[in-house]
Amino acid sequence: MTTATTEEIAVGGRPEGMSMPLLGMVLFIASEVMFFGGLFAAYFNIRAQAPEWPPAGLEHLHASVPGFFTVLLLLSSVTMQMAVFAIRRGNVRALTRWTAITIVLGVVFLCGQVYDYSTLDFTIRDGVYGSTFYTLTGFHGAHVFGGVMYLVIVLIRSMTGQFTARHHAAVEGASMYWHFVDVVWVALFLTLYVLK
Amino acid sequence: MRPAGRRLPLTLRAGLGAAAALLLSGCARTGLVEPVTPQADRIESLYVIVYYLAAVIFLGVLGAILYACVKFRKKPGDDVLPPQTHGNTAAEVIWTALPLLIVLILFAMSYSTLRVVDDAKPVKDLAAVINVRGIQWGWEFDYGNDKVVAGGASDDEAPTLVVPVGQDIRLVLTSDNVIHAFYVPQFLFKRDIVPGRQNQFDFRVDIPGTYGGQCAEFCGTEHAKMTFQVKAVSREKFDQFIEGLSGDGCQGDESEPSAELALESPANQIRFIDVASKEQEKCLKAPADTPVKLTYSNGGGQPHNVAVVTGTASNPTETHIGLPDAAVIDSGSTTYDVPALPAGQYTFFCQVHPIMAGTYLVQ
Amino acid sequence: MTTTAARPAAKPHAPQPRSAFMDYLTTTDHKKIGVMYLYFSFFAFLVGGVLALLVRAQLTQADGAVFSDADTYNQLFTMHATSMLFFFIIPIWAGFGNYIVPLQIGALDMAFPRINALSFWLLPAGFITVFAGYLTGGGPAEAGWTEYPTITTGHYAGANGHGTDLWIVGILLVGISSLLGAINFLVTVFKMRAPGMTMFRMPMFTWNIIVTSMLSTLALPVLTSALIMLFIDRNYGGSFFDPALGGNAVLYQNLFWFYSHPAVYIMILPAFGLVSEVLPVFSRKPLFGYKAFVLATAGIGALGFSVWAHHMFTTGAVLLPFFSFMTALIAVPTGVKFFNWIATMFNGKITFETPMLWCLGFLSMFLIGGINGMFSAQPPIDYAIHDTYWIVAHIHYVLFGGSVFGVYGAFYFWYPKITGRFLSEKIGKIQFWMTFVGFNLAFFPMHILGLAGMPRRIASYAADPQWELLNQVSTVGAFLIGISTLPFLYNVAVSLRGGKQASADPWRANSLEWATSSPPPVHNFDSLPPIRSERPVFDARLDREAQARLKTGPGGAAPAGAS
Repeated sequence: MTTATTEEIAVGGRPEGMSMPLLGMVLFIASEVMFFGGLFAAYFNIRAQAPEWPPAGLEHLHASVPGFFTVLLLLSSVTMQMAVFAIRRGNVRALTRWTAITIVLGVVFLCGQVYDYSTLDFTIRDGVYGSTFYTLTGFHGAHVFGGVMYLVIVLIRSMTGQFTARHHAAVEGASMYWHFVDVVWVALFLTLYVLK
Repeated sequence: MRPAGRRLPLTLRAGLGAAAALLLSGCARTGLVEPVTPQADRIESLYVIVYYLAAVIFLGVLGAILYACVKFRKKPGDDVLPPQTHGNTAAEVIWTALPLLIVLILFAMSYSTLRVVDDAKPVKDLAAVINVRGIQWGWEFDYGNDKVVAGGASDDEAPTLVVPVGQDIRLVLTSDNVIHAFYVPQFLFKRDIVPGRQNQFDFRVDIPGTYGGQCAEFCGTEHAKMTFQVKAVSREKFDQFIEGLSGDGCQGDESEPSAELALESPANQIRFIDVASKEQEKCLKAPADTPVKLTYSNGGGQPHNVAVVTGTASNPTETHIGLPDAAVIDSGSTTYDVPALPAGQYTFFCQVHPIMAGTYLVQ
Repeated sequence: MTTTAARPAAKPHAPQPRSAFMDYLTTTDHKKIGVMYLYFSFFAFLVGGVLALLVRAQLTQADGAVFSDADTYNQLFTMHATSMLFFFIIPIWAGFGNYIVPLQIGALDMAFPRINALSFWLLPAGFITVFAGYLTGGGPAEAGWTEYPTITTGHYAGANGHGTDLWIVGILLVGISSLLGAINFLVTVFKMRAPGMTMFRMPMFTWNIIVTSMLSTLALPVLTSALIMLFIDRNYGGSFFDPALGGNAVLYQNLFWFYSHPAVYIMILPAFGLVSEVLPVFSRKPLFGYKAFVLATAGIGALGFSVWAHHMFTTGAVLLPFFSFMTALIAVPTGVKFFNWIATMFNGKITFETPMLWCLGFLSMFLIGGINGMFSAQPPIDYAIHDTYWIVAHIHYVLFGGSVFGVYGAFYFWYPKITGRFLSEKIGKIQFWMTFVGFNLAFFPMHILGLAGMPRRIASYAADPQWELLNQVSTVGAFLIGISTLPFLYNVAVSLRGGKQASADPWRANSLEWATSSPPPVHNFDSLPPIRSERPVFDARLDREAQARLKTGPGGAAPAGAS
């Protein structure tokens, strides 16, 4: 008859499968998907019952400029993934480099968003078109901003040598979050800018 | 410590007491009010079936619990473990399949009842189509052709919706403010009144009489007072009623038109009163083609203004005075300048509490 | 997992003199956090209870006995429901879950202890925010805990200003608390179970917390989106719910209930779990149909996502047959649970300690609540009883008769584990019967009132002697419930001071929390018994008693295995 020792209990965690922080991030992302789901549901519900879309007096959004920034955001997902590959191989310098590039691309995207806002002739107060557009893109932008903050922390931790090939859960988590933000943007872009 | 087993009969008594209460309420027509429409009759039939099914399930399950408590009490001093049965697949299958069957049958009955209750008749078969508008806090019953009856929480009597008995009626429900609900207990029916939606339902009252109703969706401060009545009368009486309706709050009013009118609101109340008589004011008369000075004083406690429109409070077609020029005041007096208007019937009302409304008659 | 070889001995820390206050303020220990949840939630229960008594006092007279100002009354029922639902019944189960789940799976703590602390502290923050509404000019939120537009979005009389905004922000905070807690529970259970504890050997309470947490994770964010849109409509010129500008008032209801229906399962599933723990212990048999329970719980969780529009049958905007069918279906897994609970009792040897009494009360009262729900699941019947006191009866039979009875059961069952002392059985039984009688007096008449046509959320009602009498009976019952909390508080106070000491396994129970001292040490376990079934403590006790009998020989007295 064996009993588990305190040590075995203290260590905790089933080593097989996803690490705990990563599983936490997956679940958090699942909840965020549902959050955007609510916003998208509102958009589609409102759009479906509108006699015309865009409503009279408003123009369909131009996709070219945001399209360019979409490509940049997609690129940033690639660079983020490169960062993950790098640290999995134990290459801290590459991790730092790729993370920094991702941050730059993220910031450029946010600037692009602000620029896009400045070209628009309607505000959040201008009926449901404005409400849905600014709420959806605004919260997405907030999530990008949050992601950039997270990546800055990852960058600092990377530069101070806190990550190794075996221990870099925060990088994996950041990468998952970043990909999620990217996917949401693609859905948003197609829905708001492309779908007629 | 006394063995807990002796305590048991109390549970039994409590259980039987609850069962008795349930059955006794069954004596009171299973609790429902008397239905007066064929739709309500169908609902009552469904209800009765569910009621008896519920009673059987309740008594059966509770009986099993109480039986177990009595039969399988631990006897004092008996420390041997009972057989440690972990489960029984056959039992699981049975008590999943059987309830599923009951659910399916119940759903079928419910669905067929729903089809009857929500059935919309072709318009040509309808004796009347009446527009019902929910306001804060009252009702407008619009029979068409400017024949509107309005009333609500600020009136002494609840407004009455008159319908011909034994004939199919449609009510079209709209609101331009908040969500309300049209609920008549004896119709066993309610339907929400949602701004931006047009809900409607058809019904027929088979038994002449007066039936109470009230708003059943929280709509603000005086939600509790938003009552109305439905009066089912013979077709003749209904036609007479409609004829006599001019939607005119000035019926029976003997006053002369004047270019200087006065209106007041008592402190903390949602109503307009006549300055002299202090009675509810439902009629203001003004001379045609003459600008009018309307002096309004507010006793305080509630913000009010006075607007004058063509149309009704909740369905204005043209605003003659209103916000922002006809300002809302919290207390004190103010004077509104009503422009010259051609002869006709208009509505005056408070734009904060649209139920405070009356007829502005220009003669 | 690191090996046990060659680990340097941990340096003993110098003892840190620290006030209990600072200790609790900064703790990340799931047990202390769990206790704080219990204290806070019970406080919110008392606050909600006082508000309820004021509501009931008003309704003793048809024209309103206490408040001439209907706005005050509207605020009362709004804040009553808000306090009870968001600050009491959901968090208190998170509290029990916090304390018990790591113990039940043989873990050291929760997966993310600091996030766990944050989850707790967001609760008082949210509570203060919501109740700060009382300090604003217009008073707190007053359009019901549902706060539907358009009354909450336009400038309509009877929907105040800042109180509602504070309500929205406070509920958002609570939502974050709940969400973080849910993620924490899920990762803890998926990753920190002791060796040998497979998913199908977990205690049923833990299973129920898992499904509850999945519901929170997936449904809560939809409420968040709805509240944010409401806030934008109210404060930033949004028009999501304004039909005049292209919005849709019913959209809010859909989003709101998409969360709030699963929310009611969040409120009841942990109680189901508690009943599944207590019945086997006091029937001295294993839980009948463990796998069926798991399937039924998962089924209720999944189905719970498909029924939300049954709260909206009367809007005319709902696909009635679908939602009616899915709602009726939920009766099936719930029935399976009931039958399995009863089968657990059958052929058992039942004793009626207070935890068992609460569970029996739960079974009978939740039965009524489930049955009266069957009525409103049918749209034609719902047309008659929606938004009447029948629904108020339903809500309270499932939430009070169900979940709160479960809460009291949990208190009496786990109190010895948490404090190392027993609650008095005598006072416990008095409290149970007072609550049981008061509860039925308070809420049974509401069935009759609903059928008679009394709508809910009204500060005054038609002057009808039958209605007044029923309302007065209900008020008496409510006050009796209020009084019944006093013996409970007294029981706790007296027991904390010097109640009978409890051993590690005072009830002769089944799951791992009973394999450690009462209360447990900081690190939870000094050793774990082998985990070969869903009842490791039962198995170990049986082994121990068999060994003892071997030693003393046939006919020798088996030592009472309680210690």
